[in-house]
Amino acid sequence: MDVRKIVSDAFLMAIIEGVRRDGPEKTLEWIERVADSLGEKEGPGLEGDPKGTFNCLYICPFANALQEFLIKYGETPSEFVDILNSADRADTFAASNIFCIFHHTIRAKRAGLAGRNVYHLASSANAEGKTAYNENAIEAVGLTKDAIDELMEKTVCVFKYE
Amino acid sequence: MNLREAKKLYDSSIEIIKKNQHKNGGFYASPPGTRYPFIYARDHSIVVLGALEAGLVDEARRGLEFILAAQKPTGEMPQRCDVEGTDTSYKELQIDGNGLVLYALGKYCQKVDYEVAEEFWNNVDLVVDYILKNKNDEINLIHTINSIHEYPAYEHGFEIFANSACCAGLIEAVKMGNALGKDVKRWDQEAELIRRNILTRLYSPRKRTFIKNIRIKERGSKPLGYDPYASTVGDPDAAEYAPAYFELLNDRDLRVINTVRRIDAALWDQELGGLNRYPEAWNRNNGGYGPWPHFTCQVARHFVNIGDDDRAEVYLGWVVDIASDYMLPEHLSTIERFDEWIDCYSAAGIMRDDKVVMIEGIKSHPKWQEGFAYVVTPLIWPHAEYIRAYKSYEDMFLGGESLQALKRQALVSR
Repeated sequence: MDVRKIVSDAFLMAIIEGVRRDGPEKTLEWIERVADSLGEKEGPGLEGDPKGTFNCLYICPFANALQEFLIKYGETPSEFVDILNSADRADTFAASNIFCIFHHTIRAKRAGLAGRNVYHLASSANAEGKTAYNENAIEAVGLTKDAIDELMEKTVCVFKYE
Repeated sequence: MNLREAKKLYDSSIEIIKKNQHKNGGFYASPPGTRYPFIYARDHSIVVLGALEAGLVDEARRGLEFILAAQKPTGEMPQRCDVEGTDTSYKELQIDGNGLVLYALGKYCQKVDYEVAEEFWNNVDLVVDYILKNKNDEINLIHTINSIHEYPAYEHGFEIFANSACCAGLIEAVKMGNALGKDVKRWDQEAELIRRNILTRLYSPRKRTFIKNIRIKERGSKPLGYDPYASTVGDPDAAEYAPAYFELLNDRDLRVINTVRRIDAALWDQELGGLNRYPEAWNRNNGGYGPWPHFTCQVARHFVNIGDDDRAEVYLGWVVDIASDYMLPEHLSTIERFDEWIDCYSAAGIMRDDKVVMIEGIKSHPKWQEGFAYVVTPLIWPHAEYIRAYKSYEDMFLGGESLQALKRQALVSR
C-alpha cells in the first residue's frame, strides 16, 4: 500500500465530494485556503527556472499524481471541470488541471511573503497537452498568445514575478 | 608541484571568492551569467570556510549573516536562494547544507568572536531542531534525499556526507551554546549518538572502509529492515572521506587512512589524473565522466594531515596544473567521454535544454581545442577548497627553509 498515493488520491476525492456537497465555488475557496496555509508554512520563495523575464517549469510536479488518479477513476471527473470553469477565478489561474489552482495559490502566497506578485500565464499539464491561458494576465504583462506559445514549446507552465 | 604557480592560484582563488560575493553577502556558486548564478547553502558554507582560511573575516561574516537570514520558517536552510535571500529551491531535501551552515558558523566563532551566533541564536536553535527532526530513532542517523552529489538514487537514506556534516554542525552548535551560556546538553547527547552511529553503522570492518549510504526510503520506517529501499551502497565515493573532513575522526585514524586508500585506488583518474567523485558506472556524468578539483583538494588535505608530502603534492599539483587562467572548473573530462555522455543521454531521451547550454560552454572553452572538456569554469567551491588545502600544505611543508627557498625562487624570477 502506497500511503502517499492514497493521501494524494484522498485529496482529489475530497475535491469531488466537496463539489457534490457545497458546489464548485465553495470547494475552490476551500482548496485556496488549504494551499494558502501550506504556502505560509513553506515561507517566502520563488519557483521555477528563470527564463528571461519569466519563470517556467519543465515538468509539472503534480502531473504524475493526477495521472495515476485519473487512470484509477477512469475519466476526468465532471466536478473538476466545474471548478476549472468557475468564472470568478478565470483571471487568476491558467489552470490546465485541477492541481494548478492548488499549486498556483501556494506559489502566489510564497511570492507575496517575499514581497512579489506573480501572474500565472499558461500551463499545459494535462493528458492532452492542451494549453490553458490566463488571457488577462498575458495582457497585463504585455505579451501575446503567440509569444506564450513559443515559451510553451519546451515548458509546461509559465509565470511571471513582479 | 610548481610552487610559484601554486601560490598564484591561491591568490587568484582569494580574488575569485571576493569577486563572487554579492553585496548582500551571498556567494554565487558560479558567476552571474553562468550555470549556477544562485547561492547554494552547501557551496556557500564551504566558500565561507575558504574565506575564513584566507583571512577574509568580513566577507565570511557577511556570508553567514546572509545565509542565516535566509532560513525557512520550518528551520530548514534553503537548498538555494537568490541574492535577496529568497528561497528558490528546486530539489528535495538536502540536509547536509543545514549541518554545513552550523559548521561554518562554529568555525567563524572560534576564529573571530561569537557575535553572529548570539545575534542569530534563534536561527541556530531552529536549524538544530530541523536536523534532529530528520533523525531516525531506531538507527540514530539523519535521513536525507539528496546529499553532496544531489543524486537520490545513491544518496536517499542515511548518507555519510550528510550525516557527518549534520553531526559536525551539531557539535559546533554545542560549542557555540556553551560559549554563550545556553543549555545545550541535549544537543550534545544527540551529536554523540549520531557520531557513534556514523562510526559503526556507516563503517564496514570487513572492507575496512566507510560506506556511502544506508538506502532507506522513509525516515520513519520501523522496523527499517522492512523499508522498500532497505539496502546499502558500498561503492567507493569521495564523500566517504567525510568523517575526517568534518573532524569526527583524526586523519591518522586507520579507518580514515584505509578509506582514503580505497578512494585513491578506485577513483584517481588514470587518464586525466585528479579524483573522480564516484564510479563511472553510476552513469550520471554530465559533461563526461572525469575528475573534480574540489574533491581532489579535500583528499589532498588528508595527505597533508597525515604528513604524506608525496601524495599531497600529486593531488594539489594536479589542481594547480589543470587550472585554466588560474580558474578551476567544476570538473573536466575528455572529448571522447564527453561524446559518450551526449550519445548516451540523447539516445535515452534525457538530454535537457539547460544541458545544451552547458555543452556550448564546454565547447567554447579554450581547453576544448587541447582535447579537454572543462565543465562550468569557474566554479567557486573548488577555489575555497583549494585555499584550505594550499594553506594546510603551506603550514605543513613550506615552513622554515622550504618557505625561504620559495621566496628566493620568487625573487629570482622577478
